[in-house]
Amino acid sequence: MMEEKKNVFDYISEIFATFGIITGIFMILVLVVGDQALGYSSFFEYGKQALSITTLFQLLGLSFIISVCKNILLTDRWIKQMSMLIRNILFFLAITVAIILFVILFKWFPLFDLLAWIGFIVSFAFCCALAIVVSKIRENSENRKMEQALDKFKGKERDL
Amino acid sequence: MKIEIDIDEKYTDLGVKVTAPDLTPDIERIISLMRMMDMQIPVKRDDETILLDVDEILYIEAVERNTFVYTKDSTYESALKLYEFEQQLPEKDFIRISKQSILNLRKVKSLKTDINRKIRATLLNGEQIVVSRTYAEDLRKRLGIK
Repeated sequence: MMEEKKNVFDYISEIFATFGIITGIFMILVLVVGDQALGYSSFFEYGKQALSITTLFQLLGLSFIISVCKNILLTDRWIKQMSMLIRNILFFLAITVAIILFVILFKWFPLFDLLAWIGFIVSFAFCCALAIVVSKIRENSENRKMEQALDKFKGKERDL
Repeated sequence: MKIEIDIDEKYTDLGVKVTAPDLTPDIERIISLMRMMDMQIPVKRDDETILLDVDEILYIEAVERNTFVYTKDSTYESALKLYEFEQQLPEKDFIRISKQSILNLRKVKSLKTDINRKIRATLLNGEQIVVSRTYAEDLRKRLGIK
């Protein structure tokens, strides 16, 4: 059975929803550490005053890539048979590669700052692992609920 | 079309007589609908018409303009449209699971969440069928999860 068809506006709203969340996170980051990190990264070009237009376009580009990965890996439009776990792992791997490319291309932090890379990899890996574990727990809990409900339904049917 | 209704105490059982020069698809559909009231449907396989008990149905699928009825061991073709099945089959057992299919819940072995809030149902014969996102909500409601 095919995925319900999306139109171009669905894709656009998906990209902008992601963009909104990412920009929101960066706005908070800039507000909190903007002044201390001034000059360290292209994000903090204006201290805690603003995010630059260039940064906003970079984040929009990242949102576009996330949306493409999501539509390829987290729907069954292109890939029909694949477990949720593998899909999630591939999704987060693709996003990691995209972010690393953006870091290098747009100098999101100094390329040779080992500590920054370690910080980025550790925090991103933690977030990905957490997201995968949470989604797996939720999936298992929902499966258990459905199994119980199905057994109850069949039990009722037998009683009738 | 001429319809004659003859109610008389001399009859011991309900009977419907259909007279026509040919057995057309419309007549086949009328017969199928009447049969379904007795929980049986006439289905075809290899040009042979069989009366199939509704209880045996795993799921029903519409493919292009044809309707297929799946049981544990066989696949049959029916003259009925999917919406006619939906109207006539017992609501407590059968549920629409996509634009193309109706599922017999009593023949489901297990249910698992699938991608995009869909549900993957494994049937008693091991076959798997996907409940589309729209209808997955109806199924959750039917099972009392929502």
